[in-house]
Amino acid sequence: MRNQRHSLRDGERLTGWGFIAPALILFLIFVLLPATFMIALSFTKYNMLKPPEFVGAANYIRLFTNDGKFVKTAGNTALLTVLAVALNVGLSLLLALLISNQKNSVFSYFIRLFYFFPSIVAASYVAMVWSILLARDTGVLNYYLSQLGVAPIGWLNDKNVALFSIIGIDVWRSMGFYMIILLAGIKDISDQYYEAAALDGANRVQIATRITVPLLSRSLLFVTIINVINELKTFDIPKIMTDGNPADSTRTMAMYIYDCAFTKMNMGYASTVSLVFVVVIMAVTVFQFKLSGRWGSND
Amino acid sequence: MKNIRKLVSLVLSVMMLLSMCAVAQAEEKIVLNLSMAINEQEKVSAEQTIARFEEKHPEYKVNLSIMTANGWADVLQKLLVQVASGESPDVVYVAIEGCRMMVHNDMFLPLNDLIAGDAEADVLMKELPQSAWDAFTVDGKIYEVPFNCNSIIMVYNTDMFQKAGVEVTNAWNTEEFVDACKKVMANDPTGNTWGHIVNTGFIWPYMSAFGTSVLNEDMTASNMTDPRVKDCLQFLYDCVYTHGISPVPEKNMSDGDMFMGNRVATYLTGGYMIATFEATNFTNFDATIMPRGNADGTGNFGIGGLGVLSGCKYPEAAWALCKEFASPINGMAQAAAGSSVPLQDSVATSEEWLRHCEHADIFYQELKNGVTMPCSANFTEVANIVSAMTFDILTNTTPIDEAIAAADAAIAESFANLD
Repeated sequence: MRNQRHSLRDGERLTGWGFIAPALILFLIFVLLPATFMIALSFTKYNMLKPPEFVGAANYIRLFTNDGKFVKTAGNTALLTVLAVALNVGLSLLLALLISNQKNSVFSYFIRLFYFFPSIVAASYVAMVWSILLARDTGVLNYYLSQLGVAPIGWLNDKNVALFSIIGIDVWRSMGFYMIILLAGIKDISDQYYEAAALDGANRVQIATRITVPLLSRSLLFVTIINVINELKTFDIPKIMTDGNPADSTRTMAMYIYDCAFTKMNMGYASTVSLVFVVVIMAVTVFQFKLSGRWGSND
Repeated sequence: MKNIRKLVSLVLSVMMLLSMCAVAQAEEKIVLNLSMAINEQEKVSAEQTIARFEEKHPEYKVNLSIMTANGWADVLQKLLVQVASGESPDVVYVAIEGCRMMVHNDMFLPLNDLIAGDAEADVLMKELPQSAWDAFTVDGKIYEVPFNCNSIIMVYNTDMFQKAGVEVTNAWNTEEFVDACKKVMANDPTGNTWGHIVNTGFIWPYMSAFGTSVLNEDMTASNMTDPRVKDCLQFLYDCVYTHGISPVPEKNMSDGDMFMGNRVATYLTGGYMIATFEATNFTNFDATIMPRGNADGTGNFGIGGLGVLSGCKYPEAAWALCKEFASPINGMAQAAAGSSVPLQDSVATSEEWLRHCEHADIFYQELKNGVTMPCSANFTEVANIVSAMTFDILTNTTPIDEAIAAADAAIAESFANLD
């Protein structure tokens, strides 16, 4: 009887392994092995054409003591992430609250479509179209501003403005997507709360701030985490629109890693920067999950 | 009924046998993989050349793969990744921008032995200008066969210049050029026309016009501290801020599109744009030299060639393919299509080439008398450094001296990191 129970357990164990094996194998091949390889490469000088040369901790020493560009791009990425996440979450929440209050379903449908549309357009098209609109001397926006007597603004070629233009385009492109997620969260909130609030005489603002937003905290947390990770990885829009210029003011960490790997052909150093970057993303994500213990509760 | 079945069986058997023979025959052929970053117009002449080659050499089969890329720096990046991942082609079209990088990384086979062992090679060597061969010669060894050239000239909008009453000379200097641009701009009542547009990723021809370069003569170190480099950058800066003839550059501002859209009167380009002008029925253009900044100023050219990868199993076949691409027949086809400046005297004086614009002969002159662009083994990185520096200067982000010093240090570091 005891042996039979053992064999049953072994059988169950094998079945369990069988179920997770495909995912495990894929994880090993596409995540663990490349990650291990990246860690190993971070201690080398390697240009892909000649065998890697072991350089010890030289890449790390250079990164932390003698790489102004890394510091600059880290600062840009942090600023972009903070501002873009704040604007994306804030504006998408505002839109979701406004749309959820709409009684006219056709109007609501068109508004949703209008805001969601930019998120399904390829980044390269978005970047090219905005580049034409925002050109300092030949762009459409400055042309109309000049009719109002405004001097030309270097939306993409003034180092004090360019990053904010990139952030604006990013928010324009992403907030519709996050709005849809938050709208779904709002739809999930039970009508009982709203009926009770109405009986108590609460106005729209009170309902939004005292009922909807607190009960939406799980969706808000999800949107924030996804958005933070996406912003930290920002690459395509600034790469196409400014290529990190002027004066590296729009260069993000992902672009810097790309430059190290494929322009300077230094895979070893690119791996070092990547590894440090991954650690930062992990730390931020862990911090967010810790926060979720308090903030992300609906209870 | 039985007879029909027999007939069908017989036909099917014969078909099967024939297809097996065809497969066997195809398998016997030596396959050469050729990689080229070319546009639609260039593709036509490339396919014709391959067809001629396969007809002359039925034992060879060429697989042409077309690479899409944004500039030569992008081509080189993709090629490096391709070779590193073990998917190396046998023959590759690499412009001068990438030749030294390929040689530095032992990716190209020296062609000297193949040239020495080929009786026909002498004709080819004499047919093409020495400057073209020199462009692909590193440490005395030839690594590519030139077949496509783009001497950089200034194109101007003939209508705009004519309406403004400005005559273009083929020996103007920068002051005369600035005056001409101002007159053309003044003649436009809408104020939407610019005199000239500067592509910050393409300042080599301006440097040559000032008799200098961003790299030293043997392309192994920075030359940014040469005072003529500063003169050149100052001239470009003045075009934007002092003379107001050029817009502040943008990364995605297309000089060609602005020129064809009659928004800009002049810009620097290679012969490759002729095909685009003609494809879009833009005919209001002519060619002139890039105005010289001083007495040392020269023209500038880029050149494309075919190189044989060091891992190629059939170098003789690859060499034969390279020769076919460098033949006057292909030269004439490219010249007729406007996709390349002629490399042979016979093509340069042909009606097929000269019909493109009134002063089409200037392209060939600039090739013969010009210098090549600075293409070191670390071209991709140098190009990025110089482009970013120029962008920062012309957007008034960084003062010229400071930008030059930073670029000089960055180029020096890049050479130091070169294996």
